Amino acid sequence: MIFTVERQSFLTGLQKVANVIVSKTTYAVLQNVFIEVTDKDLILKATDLDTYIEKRIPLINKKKTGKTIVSGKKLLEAVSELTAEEFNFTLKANTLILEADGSESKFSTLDPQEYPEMPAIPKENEVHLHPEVLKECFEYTGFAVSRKIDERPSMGGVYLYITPNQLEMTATDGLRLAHIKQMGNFDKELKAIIAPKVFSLFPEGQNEVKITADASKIGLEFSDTIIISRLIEGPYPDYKRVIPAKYEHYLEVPTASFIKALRCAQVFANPLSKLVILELAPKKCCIFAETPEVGEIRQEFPATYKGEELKIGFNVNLLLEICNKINAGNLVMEITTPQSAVLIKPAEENPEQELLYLVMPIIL
Amino acid sequence: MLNRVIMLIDMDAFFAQIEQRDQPELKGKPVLVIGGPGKRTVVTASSYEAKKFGVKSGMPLYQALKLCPDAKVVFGDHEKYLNCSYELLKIYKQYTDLVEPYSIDEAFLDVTQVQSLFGTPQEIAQKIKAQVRNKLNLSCSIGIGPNKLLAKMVADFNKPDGLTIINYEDIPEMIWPLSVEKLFGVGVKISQRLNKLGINTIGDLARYPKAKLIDEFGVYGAELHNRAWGMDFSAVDPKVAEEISSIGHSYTLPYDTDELSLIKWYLDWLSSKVAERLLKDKLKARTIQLVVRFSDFKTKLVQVTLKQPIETPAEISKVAYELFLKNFKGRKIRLIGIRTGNLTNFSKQLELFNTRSKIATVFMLANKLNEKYQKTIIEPGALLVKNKARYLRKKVGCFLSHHQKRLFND
Repeated sequence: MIFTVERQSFLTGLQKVANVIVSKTTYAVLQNVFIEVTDKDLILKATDLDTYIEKRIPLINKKKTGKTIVSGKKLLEAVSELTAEEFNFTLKANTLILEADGSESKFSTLDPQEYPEMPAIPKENEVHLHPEVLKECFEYTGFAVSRKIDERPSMGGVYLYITPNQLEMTATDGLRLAHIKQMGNFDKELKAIIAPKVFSLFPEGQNEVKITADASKIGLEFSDTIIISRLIEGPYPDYKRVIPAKYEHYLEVPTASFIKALRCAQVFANPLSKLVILELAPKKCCIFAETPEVGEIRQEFPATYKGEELKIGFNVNLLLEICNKINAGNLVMEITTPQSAVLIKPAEENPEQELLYLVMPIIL
Repeated sequence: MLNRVIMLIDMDAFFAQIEQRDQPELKGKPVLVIGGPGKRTVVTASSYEAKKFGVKSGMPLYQALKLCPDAKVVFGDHEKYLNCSYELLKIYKQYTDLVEPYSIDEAFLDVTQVQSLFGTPQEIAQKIKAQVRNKLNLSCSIGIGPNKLLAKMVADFNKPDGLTIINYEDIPEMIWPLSVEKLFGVGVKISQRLNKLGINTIGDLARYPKAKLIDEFGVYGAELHNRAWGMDFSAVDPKVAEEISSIGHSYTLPYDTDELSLIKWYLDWLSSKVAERLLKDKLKARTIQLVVRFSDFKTKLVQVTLKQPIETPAEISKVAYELFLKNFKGRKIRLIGIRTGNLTNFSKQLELFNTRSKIATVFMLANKLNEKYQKTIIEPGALLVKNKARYLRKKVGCFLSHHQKRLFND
């Protein structure tokens, strides 16, 4: 195997592929990337056995085809340091030699037969999308995915639900929930719980992605990249049931100043519970937090409040994460009782895109 | 703090008395309450009739039977004793809020402020004794003093069914003639050391120079001296019962063993007992301790602190078994126990969905059913395997103080 490749395209390709590699694994071969030179181009592959990625990179020059596997992290670290425009690779026996900048790096390789085979791309449920739509939806929701996947595995992924004229994406960890509905013309129907990792693998500057899914995996095909990922097993929690249909108390605040007030309160919030209390009244709205050893804060913030006087407690971190996702100038909180889910959304309605968040209070 | 009136109420031969009450044929006969069958079992309680023969709590059964061959042997029913203890606390609390459960059959009451409501200390004590007799058909002994130390010491004076009152001026007459090991807080070791100094009675201790005691025992020397003079300023603190620092359960095996499947079974069973109590107190544990006593009676404790608190029997058993395999595999053991520490409340953070794991939910439901039917009708399959061991587990050995605490808070 002998080939020459342009620096920038090799580096960005390798960075994406290396994202899949997990540092802690009992199966050592998974620390490697798979490199193959075909008649047409260079193929890089990596997997953690849940997600597979395959990326094609154009070659400047190819003298001999072949394939090998080599430590992904080490290769990435090494090429990141090199500034040459082109990299020359040669595979000799069990050594991959990289020549650039007048340096010669030699990497030990392993038998490529050892590397797990990529599964076949699913053929069913084909949907074509602009990748930015998916990325944007994930941007608004992905943060709410549960990190405690042992307890309820399905919450470890984002729930994608495509119908002919809308796309919904939902994420929750049981304490808060993020939900976005994007109008569009999608033609098909598709339901899947997708590992958040998949979204970090999207290549840049693409116009279309073909999505396919069967019962156990999803495939995403871009012009130069294929991602196949095992779907997270459901059922996904029945989130529609927990979205409150009506409310008793209405709070509208300028987003930026509310975030600022929350940040100030965060300083005084109890380090364990992260509790802040909103004290709401039609004439005056305050935020309060205290930790006996530190002190306390009571801060008034500008707001429009409709409803009876009310005190409600939240984990300030959960609230901030949500508010930070709201781009609109004002945000709305719809409260039913201090012990039930609170709905947060942008004040301005967008007919093309519906965004809503839920957060559960802390009992005072 | 002047003129406090503190009571210690102590049930007379509690477990044995309950058994005599419930099984009339045992009335007036020597009764030995034991934890489980087998040669190794010990007497957990004995009736006054048996005590006359020299039987003491903690004595191996065969030894007790040598002293008192005609004794009736009864398996203890710990749940019953706990429920009874709970009923007693309810009675005490009718008189004052300041009730501090001290053990399963003893409680301190501070009645200083309630005399205008219920009468003199003696009248209050008699009312309580009458109520305990009428409601539960049990007798108790009460010590009344100006502090907890003296109340506790004189409660033993006229057992059973006693009532003894002590004031500071009575100390030389009532307390000082007692041998020093009768002083509350003085064990065998300390009393031997005191005897070597020529201190045989509490009076000797009171007259011994305090400075010399401090030389000999450090800070504890000063404390000993104070106690000999009947001084104790500690308050009756109902909150003592509220703070639960650990929950645990242990068991002496019917025979020493290194058989892993058997040990696993006991760990499963102990875990289910511990998890039951965690659930009742709405707690989760981050620290799991494994206690093991070997054939040579040496006891070892190992522990692990987890990142995330756990609550279900399966989780606790898994951690404990891993601790066992790591530390004691292949060694013969005679006692095994699990304790949980670093306890945290279920969060007050509300949840959108019921995110408790399925197994935790199943366990909670099983527990509710068992509670409803007052016996174990559902338990983990792993526990059904060894029928013999199942039979063996009618054992009382658990950490009483916690049980007491829990009941107090129910």
